[in-house]
Amino acid sequence: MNQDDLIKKQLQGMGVAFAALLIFGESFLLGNMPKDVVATTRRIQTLKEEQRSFEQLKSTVSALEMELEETRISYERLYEKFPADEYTQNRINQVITDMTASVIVISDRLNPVKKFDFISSEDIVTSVPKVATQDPELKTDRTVGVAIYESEIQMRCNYFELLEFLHATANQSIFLTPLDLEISPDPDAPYGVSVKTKLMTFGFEGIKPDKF
Amino acid sequence: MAIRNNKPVQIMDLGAYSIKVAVLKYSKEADEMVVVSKEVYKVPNSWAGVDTYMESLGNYFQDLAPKLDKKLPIRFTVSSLFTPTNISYLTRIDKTQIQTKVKEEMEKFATQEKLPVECPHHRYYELFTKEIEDKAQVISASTLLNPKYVAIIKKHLYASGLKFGGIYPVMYSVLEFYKKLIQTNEALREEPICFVDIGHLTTKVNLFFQEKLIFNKILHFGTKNFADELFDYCSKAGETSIAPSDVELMIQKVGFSGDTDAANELGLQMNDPAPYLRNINETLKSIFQKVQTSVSYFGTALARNFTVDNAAFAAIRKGPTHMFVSGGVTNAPKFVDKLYETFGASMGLHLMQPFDVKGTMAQNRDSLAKEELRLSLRENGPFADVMMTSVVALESVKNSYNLVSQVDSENENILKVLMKMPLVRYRNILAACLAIVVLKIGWSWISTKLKLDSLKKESSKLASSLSGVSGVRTRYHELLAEQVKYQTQFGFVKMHLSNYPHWPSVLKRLMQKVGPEIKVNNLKFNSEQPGFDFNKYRRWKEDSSTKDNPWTMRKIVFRIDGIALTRQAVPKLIEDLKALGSFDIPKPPSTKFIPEQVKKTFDRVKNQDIIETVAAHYEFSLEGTVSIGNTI
Repeated sequence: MNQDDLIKKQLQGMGVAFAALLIFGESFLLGNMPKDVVATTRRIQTLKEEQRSFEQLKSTVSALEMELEETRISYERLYEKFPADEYTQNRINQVITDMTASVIVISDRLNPVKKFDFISSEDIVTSVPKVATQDPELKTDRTVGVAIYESEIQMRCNYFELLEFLHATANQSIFLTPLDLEISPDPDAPYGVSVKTKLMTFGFEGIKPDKF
Repeated sequence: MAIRNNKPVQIMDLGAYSIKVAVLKYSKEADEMVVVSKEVYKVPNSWAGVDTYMESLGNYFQDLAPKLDKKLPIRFTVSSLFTPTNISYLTRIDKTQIQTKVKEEMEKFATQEKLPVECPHHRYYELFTKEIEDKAQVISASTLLNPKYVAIIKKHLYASGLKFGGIYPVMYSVLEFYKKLIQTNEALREEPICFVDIGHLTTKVNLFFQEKLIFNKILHFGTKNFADELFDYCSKAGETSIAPSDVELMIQKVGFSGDTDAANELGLQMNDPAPYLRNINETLKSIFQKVQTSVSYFGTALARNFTVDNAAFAAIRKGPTHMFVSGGVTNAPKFVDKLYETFGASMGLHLMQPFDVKGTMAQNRDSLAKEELRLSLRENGPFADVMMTSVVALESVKNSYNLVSQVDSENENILKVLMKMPLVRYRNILAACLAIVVLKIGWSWISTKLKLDSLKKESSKLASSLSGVSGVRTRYHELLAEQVKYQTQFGFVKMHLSNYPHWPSVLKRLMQKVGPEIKVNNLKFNSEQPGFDFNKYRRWKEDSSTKDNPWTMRKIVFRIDGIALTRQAVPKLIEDLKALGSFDIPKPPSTKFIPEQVKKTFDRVKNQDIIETVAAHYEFSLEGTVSIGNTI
């Protein structure tokens, strides 16, 4: 074999090797690495977004904790005026008895409790935002159980004692409001009036499961 | 010389002793070929035949390449060593068959030289024609070129990055140069002119007359014979033989002067240089005699048939009037004297100064004896054939002396450059490309691996930073539940506290407006407490509309039953109540007039009737709604 033939054979071999490497070399050697790089890059993007959401969530939780810390006591004190437990009826009776100490009570009847569920008309955030798309849904119920207590009182007093009584309904340890008020003159006493009134109070039984 | 084309040309003279190469241009002002660059390369190997020479040509080109112009194609001028040439003297051939006969001579010569008959590089020329009736006397020249040599030359050129410009047999270069010469020296046209080129292996004798080459002889005697003859003499005489390079030195320094002292000064291995010098002189004389014999042969044997007329024949018989001698030996000391001894009596002698043709024409005995001429010849003398071929090359459109038609041009496109590239270079380029691809793939793998590892680390770090998400969400859920409870309950409380009546204020305001003409018998307030309709909420959630609003606000209705003494008292009461802003009485009151009544009652105590008169009055009933902002 002369020099030229040898060189031609070498050229052929190298040519084949060159073509094979050029076409298949990179894909063969790298395998799935490029796809993995793309997938990992996307995953990192997702994780960064989740991290941003997480940071936001943490700051929201922190702000809510501070807000509730500041307002919890005020709310609790407010809602003490709206009880709905097994002692509520006794408390109502106690309050009304105290209020009617100076008047003649003809009849006094505490009606059964009426209950219903209430959803506020205001737009309240009730679900925990997701950090990752696969996070479970966490929602709170927004329905509050309300118990209504009505007391019917019939009494005789003078007009000024009536005003005092009515004024006292707004200043009790529990919330009271007259629903119905019927006043007619009582001729037997000076400035006497005969009064029939229905007092209402309500209380919160706490969060109930949403019917929706 | 009047050459129109003044582009530079690169000519290479392939000689057995040395290779001469130069880039020449025609100078219009000087009317001479001028040198742009020149180089003499001594062939390192002694002559061992054309094939051996061709094999080594690649090495010679490699050595010469740095000094050559790679842009200009190299045009080769070669002797009959490389392009066998045969001069045929054809007599009495049919004048219509001249071309056929001339071609036949070429084919015969090709067969004789064992070369392919059909070859694009072979040429045949009609040098001289004399017609006699329907016959002709023709001198033809056949020149052959082995295509193998063309391929070899090209291969070696391209391997060194050089270009190929063609192959010009030197005989025709001398012919064209002769023609140029007589253009400027018309008197020489009718005189036989002889050109003698003393080379290393051969001496070429060309005889020209009337613008035609009429005789060419290759004598196989050259300057190599000086060393060969000396060697023979030393062998026979028992003298110490000296190396060919020492013979060269002796010819260059001592020449043909016979100066033994000068020879001794060279320090060569010679007891007595005299016989050596004598031998050299004899050899030179022998060469001259052979030249003389050749020229005389034509004059005696051939001139009769191959001259146009008697006057021409007579001129030829007299012999050449001028002889132009070229070759490396012409600058040897006392060469001119020896030349004159042999030829001086009968003709004008000129030593070829390639770049001073006018000077060459003007030479005489005195000017030839000058040392500066000898030194000039030493430098420029070897380039005689190069100069003569440059003339042919510059006027190549007029002639067909280039034996190879496919030549490279000065400006070549990349495709031609690639096609000329030798296989070895392709292999080297491919090997380099292969190495680059391997490195690229390797680097790609490394960089991708590193990138992937780094991304995985970052991903892992991010994932671990999110490990507390579940706990935070749970905590937020708890807090949210607490907040939602507070806010929902507060929503209900707000509903109840809006429009919450402070009853004492309501009663006070009302009683203040009841005048003395009105007696209230019954005052009744009924409230519809704020509430929430769950069923309506469901409908409202699907399609929120005002009519399905599930949140109902407090509504307080009132009714006043009483007695008014005057009819105007009730409307006045209504106006006064409306003016308060919190009482709304949309319907007119129901009013009933009660005329005066006398009532009789029996008093048991007094045991008498009591008569009571009730004045006329109006019984009225008034209804409306109370709306008061939260006054608490």
